[in-house]
Amino acid sequence: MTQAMTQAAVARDVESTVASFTADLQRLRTEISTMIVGQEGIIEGVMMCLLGGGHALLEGVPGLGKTMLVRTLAETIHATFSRIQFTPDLMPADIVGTNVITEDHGLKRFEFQKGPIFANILLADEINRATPKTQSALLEAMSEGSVTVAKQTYQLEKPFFVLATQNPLEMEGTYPLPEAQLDRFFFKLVVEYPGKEDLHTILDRTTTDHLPQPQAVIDKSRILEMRELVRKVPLARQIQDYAVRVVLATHPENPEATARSKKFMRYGASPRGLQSIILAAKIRALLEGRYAVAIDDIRHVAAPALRHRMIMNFEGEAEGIRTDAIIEEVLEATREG
Amino acid sequence: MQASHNPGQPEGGAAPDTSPIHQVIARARRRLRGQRALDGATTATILAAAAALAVVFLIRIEVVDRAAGLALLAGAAGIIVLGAVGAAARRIDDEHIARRIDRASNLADRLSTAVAFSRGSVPSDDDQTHQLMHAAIRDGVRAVPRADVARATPFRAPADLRAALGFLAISALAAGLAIPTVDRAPHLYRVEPDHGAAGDQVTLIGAHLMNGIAHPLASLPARGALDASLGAPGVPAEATAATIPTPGQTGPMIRGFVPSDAQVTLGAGKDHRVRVLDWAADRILIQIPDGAPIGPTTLTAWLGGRAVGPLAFTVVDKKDPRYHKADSVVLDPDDRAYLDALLNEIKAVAKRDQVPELEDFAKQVEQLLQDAELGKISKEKLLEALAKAEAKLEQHAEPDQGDLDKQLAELGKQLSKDQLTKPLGDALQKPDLDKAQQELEKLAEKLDNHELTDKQQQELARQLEKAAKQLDDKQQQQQKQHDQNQQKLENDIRRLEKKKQEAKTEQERLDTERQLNKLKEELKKLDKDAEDKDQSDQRQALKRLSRDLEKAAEDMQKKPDQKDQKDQKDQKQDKDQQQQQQQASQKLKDAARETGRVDQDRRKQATQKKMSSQMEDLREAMRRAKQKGGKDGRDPFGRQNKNQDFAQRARGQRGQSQAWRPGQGQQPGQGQQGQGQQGQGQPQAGKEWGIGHDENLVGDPTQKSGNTKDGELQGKQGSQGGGTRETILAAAQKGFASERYRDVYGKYHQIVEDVMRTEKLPSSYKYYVKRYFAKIHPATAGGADAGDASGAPPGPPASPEDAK
Repeated sequence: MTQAMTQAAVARDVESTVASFTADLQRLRTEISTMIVGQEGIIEGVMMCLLGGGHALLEGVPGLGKTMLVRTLAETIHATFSRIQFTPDLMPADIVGTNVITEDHGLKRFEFQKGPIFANILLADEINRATPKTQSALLEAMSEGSVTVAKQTYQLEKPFFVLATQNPLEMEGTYPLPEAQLDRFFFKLVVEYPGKEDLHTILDRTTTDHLPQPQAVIDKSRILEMRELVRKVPLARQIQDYAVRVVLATHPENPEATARSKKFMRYGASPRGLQSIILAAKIRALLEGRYAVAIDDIRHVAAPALRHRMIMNFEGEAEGIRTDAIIEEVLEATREG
Repeated sequence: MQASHNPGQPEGGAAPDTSPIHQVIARARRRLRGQRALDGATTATILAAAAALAVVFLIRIEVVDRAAGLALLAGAAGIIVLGAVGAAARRIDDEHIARRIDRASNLADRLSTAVAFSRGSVPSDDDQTHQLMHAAIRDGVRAVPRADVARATPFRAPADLRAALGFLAISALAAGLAIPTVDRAPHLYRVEPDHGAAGDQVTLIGAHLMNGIAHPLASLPARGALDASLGAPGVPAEATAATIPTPGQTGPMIRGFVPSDAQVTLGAGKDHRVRVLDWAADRILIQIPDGAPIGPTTLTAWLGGRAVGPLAFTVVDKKDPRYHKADSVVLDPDDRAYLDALLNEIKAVAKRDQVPELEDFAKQVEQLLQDAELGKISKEKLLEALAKAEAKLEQHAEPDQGDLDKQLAELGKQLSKDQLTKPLGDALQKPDLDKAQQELEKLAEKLDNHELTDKQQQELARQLEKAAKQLDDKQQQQQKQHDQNQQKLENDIRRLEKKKQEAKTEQERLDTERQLNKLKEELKKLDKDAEDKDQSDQRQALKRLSRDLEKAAEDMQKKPDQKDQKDQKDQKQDKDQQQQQQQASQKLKDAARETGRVDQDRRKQATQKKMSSQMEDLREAMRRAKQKGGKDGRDPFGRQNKNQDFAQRARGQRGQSQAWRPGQGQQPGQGQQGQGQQGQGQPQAGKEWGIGHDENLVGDPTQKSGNTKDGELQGKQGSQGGGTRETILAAAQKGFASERYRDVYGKYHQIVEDVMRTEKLPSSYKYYVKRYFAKIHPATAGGADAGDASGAPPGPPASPEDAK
C-alpha cells in the first residue's frame, strides 16, 4: 500500500515537473510574443537552443527583430545581455576583454577588463563580417563556456547563450563561417519576412506611444533546471534509430542516402547535428506536454538542426539547391521503423 | 498485461499497467492478420490458378487420370489456404502495430513508446528518466481511448487481386473452353478402298486403335524390317503367311502385329471374322474372306469387347468392271466371245496337230484375258504380254521352210536309190517326216534284231553315208554361198563407201549413199537370215540327223573288219562287234528322233502359218479392246448397248439380261418350228416359222459352255418360208437359229472368206468383217465351224486352209 502510494506520489511529482516545464516555457513564449510579432518558429527555436545548451545562428535580412528577440529573451529570463556588432576591424579582445594597467595604492598591475562576451545572452550581430581570428575567439567561448586571456581562463556565467546573425544579402567583404564553426551552432534559424497581418501588428505596437515592456517570467536558475530535465527525457530506441537514419541519409556515400543527397551533397550532417536533433526533440516533447520523444519531434527539429551542417557539392551549389529541400526529402524517404 | 520489471528500473518502482495498450494492439493484430491472410490467399491464388491450369492440361492430355486430377486440383486449392495461413501466421511486432495506431490516431508515438518503454528497451540509470518513462507509459495508456484501430488497420483490396483474378479467369477459360478435349477413344474413319472383292486386301483407317487392347506398348508392330520378328512375343498373330503381297506393293510386306483380343468382322455381329494381316494404332490391314457375299455390308473392329465402327463397305464381284482399275482393259461381251472363240480354235488346232507350244500360248492368252476381265492389267500390258507370248512362240522358227523341204527331198532322193532305204527316201521326199521317223526306227530295229545281212548293212551304211555327205555338202554349199554373198555385199559396201567419199557432186554422193544403205540393209538381212537359220530348231535337228546318219554308217562300216577278226580273236571281240551294231542302231534311233523333232517343228510352223489369220485377229481384237477411263473407253453413241440389244435379238430374245444366264429358262417354248434351243420345253413342229421362244433362248453369250442343254431342231423348209431377204430380216428380228438362215449364212460367209483370202485388205477391215460374221453366226451352228468340232461355242470360222 505504501509502495503504491509512493509510486503514485512519484508519478505525480514527475508529471507536475513536466507540467511546470511546459507551463514555464509557455509563459516565456507568451512574454516574448508580446514584443516579437509572428516568428513563433524562431521564438521556439531560440528557446530550444537556450534549453538545449546550444547557440543559435539567425539568418535574415536586417530589421526583422533579431536584436529585439534576443533582448526580450534576456529580459524575460532576467539575464544579462550584450550585443556586439561584428566588423572587420573588430579584434578578439574587443569581444572577450583585455588586461589593462591599473594603479591601486601606488602599485600598478594588470587588471582584466571583461569584454561584452561576459553576459548570459550575447547577440553577435553580423558575425560573418568579423575576421576569422575574431570569430574563433567567440567560437571558443561558445564551445568551452570560458575565455582565456593572457593565459588566464575566465569562466563565463551560465547560462551562456550566443545568438549570432548573418545577412544573406551583403556577402561582399564578409568572412563566411567555416564549416567547423557553423557546426557549433545548435540551430540555424532562418528569419522569414513577416506576413501582412504581422506587419500590421508590428506597426500597431511600435508606432504608438504605448510600447510593451517585457517582464521576467523565469530566472536563470530555472533555465538551468529545465536544461537538466531536458536531458532526462527518455527516448525509445526505435525513434532514436529513426533520427540516426535521418542523419545518415544526408551522407551521399551512405546506402540510405536519398537520390538528391547522393547527387548534390558533399558532406552530410555531423554527429553533433544528431545530438542537436535529439535534444531539440526532447525539448519539443516537453513543450507538447509529453514525457518521451516522438518521431514527429525529430521531424520538426531536423531542418534547423541540420541545415547549416550539410555541405553541398558544386552541382548543388550551382543549381541553387537548398539544404532544407534535401532534408525534407530525407524525412520523407526515411522509414519510421 | 503487466510489463515485466527490468534492471534499469528504480528500486521499488513497478512498471505501469500496459494491458489496455496491448488489448488495442491485439485487436489491431487480428485485423492485420486477417488482411495478411487475404493478401496471402490472393497471392497464393495466382500460384494455385497456375497449378490448376497445369492440372487441367494434364487431365486433358490424359497424363493423369480424372481422380488424380481432382486430387491435384484440391491440392491447388490447398495452396490458397496455405498461403492465407502462412501470411496470417507471420509474426507482427507489437511496436509495429502500436506505431500504426499512433500514426492513424495522431497519438505522437505514445503507444509505441509505451510499448518500447514497458519492454525496458531504453537502458538508463537515472531515476527521473525512469519516472519519465513510466509517465510516458501512463500517458500511452491514457491515449488508448483515442486509438482508432479500424483506421490503423483498414481492410483493403489485396495488391495481387487483379493478377489473381486474371489467372483465375485464364484457368477457367482453359478448363472450360480453351483446350479442346483430347479424344483418345478408338475410331475408325474410313476403309481404303471402300469396296473390294473376296481375297482383296483393304485398310481400315482410324485412330487410337491400339487403345484398349492387351499390352499395346509391349507388342508394337515390327513392320519394315525383314529380320524383325513377326508379331509380338506371346501374342499370336491371325495371319500365318510371312509375306503377303499387297496391290501396288512391289516388295514383300512383313506381316505385323495382330493383337490377340482384337478382331474385325464383316456385317453385323461377330460371326463373320475377317482375316487381319496387320494391326497398328492408325490402321488395320485385312483381307476380305473368300465367301463374303457380294453387296453392301459393314466392317467393324472389336477391341476387347468394344465395337469400333462400323464402316460401310461393298463386297464386289471381281468381274464387275465398275471396280476395275482406271486403266484396265474393258472387254465387252461380244469381244470376249469372239476372243474366246479364237482361243478355243487355236487350242483345238494345237491339240489336233499336237503343237503344245501353241496350246501353251493359247492358255497364256486366256490367262491374260482373265486378268484383263478382272481389271488387273492395262491395255498396254495386255498387248505387251501378247507380243511377248507371240515372240516366244515364234522363237527359233525356220525362216525358209521351202529350202529345208528341198534338202529333205534331196536326202530322200538319195536314199530312195537303195531298196532298203527306199521307203525312208520316199517319206522324206514327200515330205512325210512322221513316216520317215518310223522307217528309221524300223531300220534300227532291224539292226538290233540282226535282220540285215552284212551286205545289206554295208549297202545301208553306204547309202546313209552318201545321204549324210550329201546333206553336209548341201549345208556347206549353202554356207559357202552365204559367205560368198556376204563377201560380195561387203566388197560392194566398201566400194560404195569409197565412191561416196570420192563423190564429186552432191547428187552423186546422195545416190551412192542410197545404194550404200540398200546394200547394208541387204547385208543385215543376210546376216539375220543366216542367224535365224543357225538358230532354227529344224536345221539344228537336221544337222544332228546328218551326224547321226554319218555315225551310224561309220559304225556299220566297221563291222566286216571286226567280223574278220572275230574268227581269229576271242569272245571279247564278239562283244565289241555287238556293241558297234548297237551303236549304229542307237544312232539310227537318234536320227529317227531328230527326224521327229524336225517333223514336230515343221508341224508347229505349219499350224502357226495356218493359224496366222486367227493370231492376227487375236492381236487386232486385243488392240481394239477399250481402256477404262480412256478415250476409247467412252461410248458416246451407245454402241455397246446397241450391240447388246442386237445380241439379244439375234438370239431371239427381248427379255431381261438375267435370261442369258445358263439354266434359267424354265418355260417351254411356245413357237412352232421354234428356235428355242436351250429351254426345256417341248416344241412341236409347225408349218410356219415360230414367233415364240424360250426365255432362255441362247443362254449367256459370254458363257457358251455353260450348263445348258442344246436342243437341235430341224425346221421344215417349205413354200411358206420366205426368200433370202425375208430370211435375213426374220433372223435379225427373231434370232439366228433357223435352218434356212444357216444356209444363207454359210453361203455368204464362204464368199466373204474367199474375198478376204484373195484380196489385199487391211487387218482391221478383215477384223470387222470376221467379227460381224461371228456375231451373225447361226446360233445352232454345228459341224460347219472348226470350233464346233471340239464343242466350242459359235465363233469365227476357220480359214479355208483349215479344211486342208
